[in-house]
Amino acid sequence: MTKQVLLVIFGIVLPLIGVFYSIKKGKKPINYIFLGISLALYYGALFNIKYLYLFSPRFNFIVAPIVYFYGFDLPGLAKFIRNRIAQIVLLLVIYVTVVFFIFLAMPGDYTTKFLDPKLMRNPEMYERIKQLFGVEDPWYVKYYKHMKNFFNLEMGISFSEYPKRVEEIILERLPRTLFLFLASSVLSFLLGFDLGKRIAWKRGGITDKAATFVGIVFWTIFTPFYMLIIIWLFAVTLRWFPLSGFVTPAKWFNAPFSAQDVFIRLLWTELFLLMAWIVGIFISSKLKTISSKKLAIWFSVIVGFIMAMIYWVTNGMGTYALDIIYHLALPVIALVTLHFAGDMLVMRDTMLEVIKEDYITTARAKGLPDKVIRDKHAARTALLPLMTSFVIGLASTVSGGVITETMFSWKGMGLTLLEATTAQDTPLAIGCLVFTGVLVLFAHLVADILYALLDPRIRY
Amino acid sequence: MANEIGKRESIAKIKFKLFIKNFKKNWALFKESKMGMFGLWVIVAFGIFGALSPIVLSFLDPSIYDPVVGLDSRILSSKYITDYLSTQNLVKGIEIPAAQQWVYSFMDMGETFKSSMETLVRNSQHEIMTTYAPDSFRHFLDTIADSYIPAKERLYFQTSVSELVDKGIIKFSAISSVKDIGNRDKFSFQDFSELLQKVDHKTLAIALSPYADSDEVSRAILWFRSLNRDKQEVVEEFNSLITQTHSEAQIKSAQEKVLEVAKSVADVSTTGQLYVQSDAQLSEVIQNDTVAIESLVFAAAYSIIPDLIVLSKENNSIEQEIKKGKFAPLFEIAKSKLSDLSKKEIYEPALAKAKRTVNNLEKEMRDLGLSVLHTDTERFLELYAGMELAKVSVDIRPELRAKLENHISRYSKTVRQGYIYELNNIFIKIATARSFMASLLNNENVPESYESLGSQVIKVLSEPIASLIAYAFQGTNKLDKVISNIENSQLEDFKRIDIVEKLKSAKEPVEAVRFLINEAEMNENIYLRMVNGHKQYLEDPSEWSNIENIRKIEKPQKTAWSKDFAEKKLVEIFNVLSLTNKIGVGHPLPPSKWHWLGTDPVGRDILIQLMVSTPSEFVLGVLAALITVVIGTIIGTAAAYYGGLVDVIFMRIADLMMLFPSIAFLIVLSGFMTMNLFKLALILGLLGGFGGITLVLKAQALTIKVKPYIDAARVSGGSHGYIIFNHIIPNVMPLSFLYMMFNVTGAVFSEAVLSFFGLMKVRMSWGLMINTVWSSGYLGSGNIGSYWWMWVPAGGAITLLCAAFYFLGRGLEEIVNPRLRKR
Repeated sequence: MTKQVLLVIFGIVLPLIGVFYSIKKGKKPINYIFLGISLALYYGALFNIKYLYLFSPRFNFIVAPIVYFYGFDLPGLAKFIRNRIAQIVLLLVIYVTVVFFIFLAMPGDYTTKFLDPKLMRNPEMYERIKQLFGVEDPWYVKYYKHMKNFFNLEMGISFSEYPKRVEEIILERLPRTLFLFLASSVLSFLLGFDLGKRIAWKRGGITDKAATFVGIVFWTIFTPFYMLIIIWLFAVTLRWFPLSGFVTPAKWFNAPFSAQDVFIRLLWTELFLLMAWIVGIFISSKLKTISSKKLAIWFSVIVGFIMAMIYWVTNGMGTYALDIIYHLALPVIALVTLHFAGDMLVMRDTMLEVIKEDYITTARAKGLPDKVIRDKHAARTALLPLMTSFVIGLASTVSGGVITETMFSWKGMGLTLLEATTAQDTPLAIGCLVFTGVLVLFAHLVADILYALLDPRIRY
Repeated sequence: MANEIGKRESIAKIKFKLFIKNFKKNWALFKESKMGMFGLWVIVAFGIFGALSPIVLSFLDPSIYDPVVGLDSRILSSKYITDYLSTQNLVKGIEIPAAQQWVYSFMDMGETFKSSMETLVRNSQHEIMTTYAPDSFRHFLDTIADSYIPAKERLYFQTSVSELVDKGIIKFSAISSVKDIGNRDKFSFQDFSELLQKVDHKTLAIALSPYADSDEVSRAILWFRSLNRDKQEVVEEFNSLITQTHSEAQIKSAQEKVLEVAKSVADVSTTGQLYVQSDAQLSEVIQNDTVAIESLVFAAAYSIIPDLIVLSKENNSIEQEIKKGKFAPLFEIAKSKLSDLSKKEIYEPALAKAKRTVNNLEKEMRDLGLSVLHTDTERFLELYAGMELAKVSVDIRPELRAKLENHISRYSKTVRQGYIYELNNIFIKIATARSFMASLLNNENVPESYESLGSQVIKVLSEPIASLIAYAFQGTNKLDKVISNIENSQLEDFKRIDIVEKLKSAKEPVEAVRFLINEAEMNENIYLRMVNGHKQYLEDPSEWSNIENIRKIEKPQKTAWSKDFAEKKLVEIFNVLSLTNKIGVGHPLPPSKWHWLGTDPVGRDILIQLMVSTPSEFVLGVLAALITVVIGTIIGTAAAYYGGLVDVIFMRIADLMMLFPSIAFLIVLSGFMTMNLFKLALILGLLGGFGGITLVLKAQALTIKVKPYIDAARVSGGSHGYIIFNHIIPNVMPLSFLYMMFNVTGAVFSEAVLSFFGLMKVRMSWGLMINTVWSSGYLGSGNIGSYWWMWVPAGGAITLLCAAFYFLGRGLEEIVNPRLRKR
């Protein structure tokens, strides 16, 4: 019964609304062609019409709405977002393809890596297994299977963590990397932005020189070396934080829930706090004076924080969450200190450029307070190049996570990738590499949209 | 100037002059940038540091200082003893030198005595150690196995003998007495049944009757019974004949008859083996004259012949001499044993090994008083064979030893010379060792008294070195360190309270220490007793008198004890033990004057590793950056010049490249294929060249493309290629050069990360140095700070080189980008 209701909603009502809207908005014939393609893809996926698949029905569900929105003209920002999503999806396909061809070019195959050599001595058995693995298929068959499986989220079974499926492993590890990445990049961005504008404003002073020096040291230091120093300082000498790991196992013996449960909730909390902060920024943009803006941001962050605290105190997982945070602290500190340096230097350089602009002189001549000029006039403009460099650095930040995760034994995507590689576990390595790319692409999309929000010129 | 107007300067010259002028101007600009200058100086310093590495390496001993395979096992100062030795090694170092003397002292007593000494060690463990400590006296057993020369040498001798028997050079009859008929190794069941067809069973029974109680005869009876299962009365008769006593003459004639037949039977069917592995087996061979003396000499000389053949590749006369001389039959066999010497990678180590072996032998012979070079091959081999025979026959009964010597002297005077000199040398060694033990135990009657003294023998062995340590370190905290090392041992087995007590109570080194530092005199009587015991069975002992004339050893000078002297000798003793792998220094060692930056867990010098890695980092960084910049510049300018489809394609590729998680990517690539420096440089170059750099260079090229002189060039008929390469690229070059510097940083960083994860196939690199330490667990626990010298230099070097290229880039940026200069 429910199935039929769903079928009616998704098979008739939803497309009808779409078609109606599109016909009302669309003007040119090309618009109707896009609509047709979109509908074909949609129904092909919905009713399992094999010849209308692009690799897999799930991929059709992703592509169909994108094609649909090409069916009529969109206003500035929405058009930008649509184009960007389309590009990212295209890049995703290309990226997965590239990964496939790289692994195709590698010497050896599945059968030579993880098979018992005793089996290989029996030629019949070996042939059979080769057939099962599809070793001797032509490359396009392999490629089709690869793409189909990826978009069906069937990445195979890991060799090194045997009975587990690759997507299960990634589902477990991806949040950990995401958490680390989010916390460190947001914090380091804010820190770099704030310090950069301050030291540029007081340029030439001792603070400027010291901060620049520290920034360059952090910018050029060899990451594992820096993390060893951090571990030595905070974990060995001062004993503030644990050396490495995800949890203290002894504390979790009697826990009625898994660490992963608690961790996922922590990730949601982090996202919630991020949202609270963004809401604060949104409110503050509607306000006039600097003090009221600050108050708005702080208020929303603190309210968010208090709500999160209440949630954690009442759900009985608080102490366990604290244990995870205790283990998280050191990697986050290491990453934040490493990454803020680059942001700070970029911010400082652009601020120095901006300060020379005429409109800053005008603002001064108007007699505006110093802080207003710095925060509202100069920093707002300098934010854009900083954002650009942040977006460019996204890929290396995500993949650089391998180093952090290895040094702190933080079992995220990076460490999994490294272990899969050293164990020659091809399915898991492919899965990790692809999903690292997915993470980068997704982060890129979000950052691009944020950028477009910040810079009106982008919305063509 | 006026006369120059007539001449036309070549374009190249003008270009060169312009270049010089520009260079001077830019250098003046560059000099103002402190960052740039700092970077440049650091790079120059690293360059010199790396370039020095081959020179420095050529001065140092490769076995110790080689960055990859070197190992410093020397003990160079008393700090090593007090600080860097584990308890186990310390205890071993205290006891092994004396234990070696102890083993020498019973070296001529035979293997039965040896095994009784092993039992003595095991029993002493229960008396000395109060706790259950199964490993605490293992090193005494090891020393017995290691220092009991005859048993050890006989193992090698046995290999040679077996090989020559296989090849048919040594011919012998397995059956040397009637008893052997029942020995399954020598005489099979088939042989036995064949024998019975040729010999009457009564004769056999009479021949076997003297050995009625032995295992062999009971086996013979069994075999006989199984052959005559249906003839009960024959079996009974056979049994009763064996148990009866018969007259001598009867037995003798029966035995002769049986032996003759048995030998003929065994020769045909069995491929017997000649056993000389234990003293009893060797005695039997000598007593029964199982083989000709020539065979024994051959077997003794055989082991050195392959090395001589290797050497003969350099000096052909050696080969000729072997082929001509006595040992000619061995030549082909030894040659067939060698691997293919025409291959360089086999020949070179083989030659080095052969040279080392032969040089050691020549030195050993010189020490004995025999001066001979290996080029005098025949004599060299004969002397060597004599020495080997002496070594294997020390612990057999004196009369048999004399019998062997008699045979040898009949065979060859030179072999006998080697035999006598070596035997005498061993006698001296034994006599010295006995004097040492006598002085330690206050008992002249060693080694016979060991068994009655019991664990006392083992207890005193720690005395000499313990007293030496106590004396040398008295009143300093070094002694406390040694004591606390033993007292706080992690291993219960080496918590040797008896040694601690000795260390605490000793004031002066005991007299026996003199033996360990070669300053003591042996007891002449012990020596003479042994020599005379040997000589009395000889047919012609006159040769031995020569030796006594030679053996006029100067009386050793006794140095008065002083702390410095004691410490020096102590270090020497420990050093010898460490070099011969009896004890091991606990690597990693902190910085010292022998290793300025300490050693790594495998015992290799950190500074040398740092030095040797430097050139490859430069090569990698510059190569990768060069590839990046060449690709980036060509693509960037082409995209700017042609625009359109070319532009779109390459810019989309650049976008994709910038989205690539490059480190993750490189990890996977190097994990699934072997990655060396050149491959990595190529991959990094390609990744970078198609990536972000093209965007920047394209923007620069676009500003040049619209300049009037480009239009002028096009109008005057310049082709696209000409314009790109002669007009656009030279103007983009400064910016490319700048980005090259930043790319070096990236490449060095990537290499370091990959080798830090252990994914690179390189001999040595800075990242690999940290990886070695990381993977051997020195950074995993709380002792990161205490092992700083293993990761700080390498990490610092990577950081500094990366920073230097970054600074250089920043300095250049101020020249290339005038906007920055005005600030």
